[in-house]
Amino acid sequence: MQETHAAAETRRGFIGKAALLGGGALAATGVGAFAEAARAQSAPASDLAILNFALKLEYLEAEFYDRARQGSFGRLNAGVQRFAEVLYAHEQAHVDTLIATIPALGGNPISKPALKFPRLAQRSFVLTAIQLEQVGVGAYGGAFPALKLKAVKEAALAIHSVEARHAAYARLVAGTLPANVAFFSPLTVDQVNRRAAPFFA
Amino acid sequence: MTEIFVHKGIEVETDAPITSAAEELGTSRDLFLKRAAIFGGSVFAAASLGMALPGNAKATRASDVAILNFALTLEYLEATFYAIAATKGFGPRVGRLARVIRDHEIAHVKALVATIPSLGGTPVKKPKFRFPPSLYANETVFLQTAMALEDTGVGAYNGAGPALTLRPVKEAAASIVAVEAMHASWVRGVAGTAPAPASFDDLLTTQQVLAAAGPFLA
Repeated sequence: MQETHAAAETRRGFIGKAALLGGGALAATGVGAFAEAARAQSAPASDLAILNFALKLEYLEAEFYDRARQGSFGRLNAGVQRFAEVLYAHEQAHVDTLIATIPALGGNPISKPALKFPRLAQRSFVLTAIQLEQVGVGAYGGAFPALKLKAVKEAALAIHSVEARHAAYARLVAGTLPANVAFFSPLTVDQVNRRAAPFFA
Repeated sequence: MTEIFVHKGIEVETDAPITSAAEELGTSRDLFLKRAAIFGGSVFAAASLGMALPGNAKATRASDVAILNFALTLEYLEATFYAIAATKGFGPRVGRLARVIRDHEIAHVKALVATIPSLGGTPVKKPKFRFPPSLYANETVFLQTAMALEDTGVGAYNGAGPALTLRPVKEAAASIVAVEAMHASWVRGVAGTAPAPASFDDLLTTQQVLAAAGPFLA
C-alpha cells in the first residue's frame, strides 16, 4: 500500500517532467505551456540564476529524503517512512525537471553540490524536514516576484505550493500545528543561504 | 477562548466575526494603519508610488485589482465555510482545524479588503453563499468539501500568479498561496489521504475555479 502510493507519486513526477519538456498530459495546468515557451525562447539570465538556485535546494532536499528513506537516520515508523518516500519522489522529480528545463531555456544546470547532514534520529529528522521545507517555501515565494518568463513563473508556482504542502505534512507528522501563520513570509536569497548553509559541505 | 496569530505586527483574533469585512474596514478611521500593518507597508508603499507611475501602469494595476477581487471572493467563501464548521461541534482535531483555518481565511479577507483600495480598486462585497447543512453532516463530509475548496484555492492563486504585475501584490499572493497549500495538506492529512498528492500543483484557469466554487455561490 505504502509502496504503491510512493510509486504513484513518482509516476506523477515523471508525468510532470514529461509535460514540462514535451507538453501533453499536464497542459491544462499550465505546466505544459512551459514547454512551449522553453522551445520558443531563452529565459533571461536572472530567471536561469533563480532556477539554478532552486536546483541547488532541490538537490539538498532530494538527498536528505533519500538518505532518510534508506535508513541513514535510523529506523522510521511506517508513517514517517512513507513521508520520506513521498517527499523523496517529489523532490527528485523537481530535480529532474529543473535539470531538463534549464538547458531548454538556454542555461547550464549546476552539478550536484557536496552535501552534509547532521546525525539525526526519527524525531530530529522530522524537525529538520520542517525547517528545510519552510526554507524551500520561502525561497520560491521570495524568488517568484523577480521571475520574468511566464513559463518559468508557472513552473515555480507549481513547485512552490507543493513545498508548502510538504511543510505542512512535516508539521503534521511532527504533531505540531500544520499551518501556524495566516501569511507565510518569503525569504531573501541571503536568508535562504544562511538557513541552508549547514547542509552544504 | 481567543487565540492570537501574529504576522508582521497584525493581530488576528480567532473569534473575529464574519461580517462583511469590506464594510467594517471601509468605514474605519484607522484604515491607513491597518493597511500599512498588513503587508508591512509594502502594498501601501506601492500604492503611493502608483501616483507617480506612468499612465500604462494604471492598466496593470487594474488587472491586479481584478485578480485580487477574484481572490477576495474565494477567501470570503472559505472564511464563511469554516466559520459555519466551527459551530458544528466537531471533535477536537477537526474542530481545531476549522477554527484555525477560519482565522487564516478571515485574515486573508481583511488583507485583501485593505489592499484593493490602496491600488485604486473597490473590494467586492461579501457574496451570498449556499452551504447546506448536509455539507456538515459529519467530519468526513466536511473534510471532503474542505479538501476540494483548499485545492481549488491553491490552483486559483497559482493560476492567477503569472498575470500579476506589481511586486508587492506578487509577494502577497505568494505568502497567501503558501498558506492555502498548507491548509490543503492539513485537511488531506486529517481526512486520511495524501497531504501532497503530486510533485507539481495544478494551475487553474478562472473558468475551472468558478466551476469548482460555483455550487457554493447563492
